[in-house]
Amino acid sequence: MQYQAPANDLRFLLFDVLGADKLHELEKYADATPDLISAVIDEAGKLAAEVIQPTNQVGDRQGCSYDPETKLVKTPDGFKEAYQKFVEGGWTALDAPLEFGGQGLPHTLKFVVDEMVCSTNLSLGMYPGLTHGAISALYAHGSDELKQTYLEKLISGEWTGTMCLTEPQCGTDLGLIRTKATPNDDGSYAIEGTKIWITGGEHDLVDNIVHLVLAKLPGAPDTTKGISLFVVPKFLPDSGERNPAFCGGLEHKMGIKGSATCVMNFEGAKGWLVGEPNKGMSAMFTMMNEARLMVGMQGLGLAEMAYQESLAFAKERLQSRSLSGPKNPDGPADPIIVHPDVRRMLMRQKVLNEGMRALALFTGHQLDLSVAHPDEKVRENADDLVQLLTPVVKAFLTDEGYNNATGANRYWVALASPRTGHWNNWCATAVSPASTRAPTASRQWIWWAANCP
Amino acid sequence: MDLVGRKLSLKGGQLVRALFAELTGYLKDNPDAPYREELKGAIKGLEQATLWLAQNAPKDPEQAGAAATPYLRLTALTVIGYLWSRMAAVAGQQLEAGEGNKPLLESKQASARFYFEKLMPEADWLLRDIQSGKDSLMALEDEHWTA
Repeated sequence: MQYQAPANDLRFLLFDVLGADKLHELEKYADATPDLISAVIDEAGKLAAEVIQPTNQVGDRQGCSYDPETKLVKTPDGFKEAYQKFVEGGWTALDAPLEFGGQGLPHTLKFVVDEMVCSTNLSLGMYPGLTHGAISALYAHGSDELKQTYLEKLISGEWTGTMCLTEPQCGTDLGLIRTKATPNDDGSYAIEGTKIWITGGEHDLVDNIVHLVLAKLPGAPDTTKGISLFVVPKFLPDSGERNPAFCGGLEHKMGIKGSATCVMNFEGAKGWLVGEPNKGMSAMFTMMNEARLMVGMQGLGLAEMAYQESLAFAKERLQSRSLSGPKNPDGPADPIIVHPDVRRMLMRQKVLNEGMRALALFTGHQLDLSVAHPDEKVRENADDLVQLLTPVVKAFLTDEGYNNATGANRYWVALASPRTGHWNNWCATAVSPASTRAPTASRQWIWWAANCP
Repeated sequence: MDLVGRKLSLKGGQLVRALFAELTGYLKDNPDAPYREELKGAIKGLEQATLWLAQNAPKDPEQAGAAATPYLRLTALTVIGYLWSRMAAVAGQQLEAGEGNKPLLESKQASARFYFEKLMPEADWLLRDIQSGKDSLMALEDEHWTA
């Protein structure tokens, strides 16, 4: 079935409940009038349904493929074209800073778009999603020279970005990192080491990939206080020379098969320090906080798609008669939506989704107030709420996203419908955001259990 | 663990105080808030859970680890309860004024009711889970796992 963006719910929530209709009264967001926000909702909904959703199932069936000869990765059919349309529509630049070609719109709108993209093809959404984190880290911590070199192309979507944190022996405990950064004579660093689970580490959607890599300087302490952040491009921006940052293979996963999750080998690749030496954790948290909110939207996006498919099926599948007398007397049976236990599942999905959307957009709205409100007290209070609620958005929305997808699967499993296979894919997809909860509760094993074949 | 291990103690507990101010401020400003008693009960439960953590976690960090998941869920259910009360309030006002999208507003009212009747009660057992502490989670020794 075709995805239908929850546009009316979004308008009710943003304008009538949360007060986002007043965002344009803040100088920073003067462009974000209710008319513009409404247009963004409608356009993003159209893009999601017409451009992104058609790539979802083929992406899952084909997956990405790796060529060990060239060490290159091919994305599934249609991904490149859909990504191009995403870029042409300016969606990668939505809330990015104006001075580097962004549109400077409120973060709330990014949340709205993230949900729709994740409902329709989470795998595809991961490429610009990770890029967004790289943009924020470079913008907040990079030197002017690094910003000039990278930001415009990342924001326009011409290049994509990655976050290279995890290593085979090092997941949530980043003090265990072994990747080394050795100073070169020209002020750059030689990066050596292996990173795993790198989303978008290698792919064919764009010409250049900008890796943000955590590594240790010589003599740095073996704790998180000894980690620095480096920017390592696939091709050096000045010379176009290939940097030895190669994909060593694709990770095998249950779901998100269209997202290239790579092993990355840095073989003395040239990198440049982002921010201060040994202060990589703070730069990493800039990416991570944002990534956590986005992961929450992934959970919500999947929960919404699971609900829409469940509702459509519950209305169309005819089985048994209503306990209060036939509701479809001319048909052989009543649609299963008449049964209280089916209602229980549907209501739970609907009410939790709308509640989770309210929680996420409440947090998004506070994020906007925390950066754009003229009153310092309001900014500080909003920032306090965002900090507190970020892990809540991430963990609760991904837990319930997973529950919702598996809950939806029950309709099909119970009825032995041919759609079961399709739904298993959805559940497998939902495992991914749910498993990124690992850092929250230090449950690394969930990730392994979920993603190892 | 980020929530109970880090965020609760940041700025001397200011973050969670900001949340309680938001929640109780809403009840104070809106004496007719829909599902007022249910929401008040949930906020009180979250306060009790927060107090339990303040009393137990500093002397035993494993207590914070044991409470992390139910405390986060309790926070989520409470804040979502607050937002469902607000959504139901707006829906009621608009329906009364004859404004807006009637089926959407009516579904909001029914959905809020479902939330408070069928989902919010989970908050009660989450609080009991938190207050029972780490003992039953951590009781098994090596020989017990292979028994």
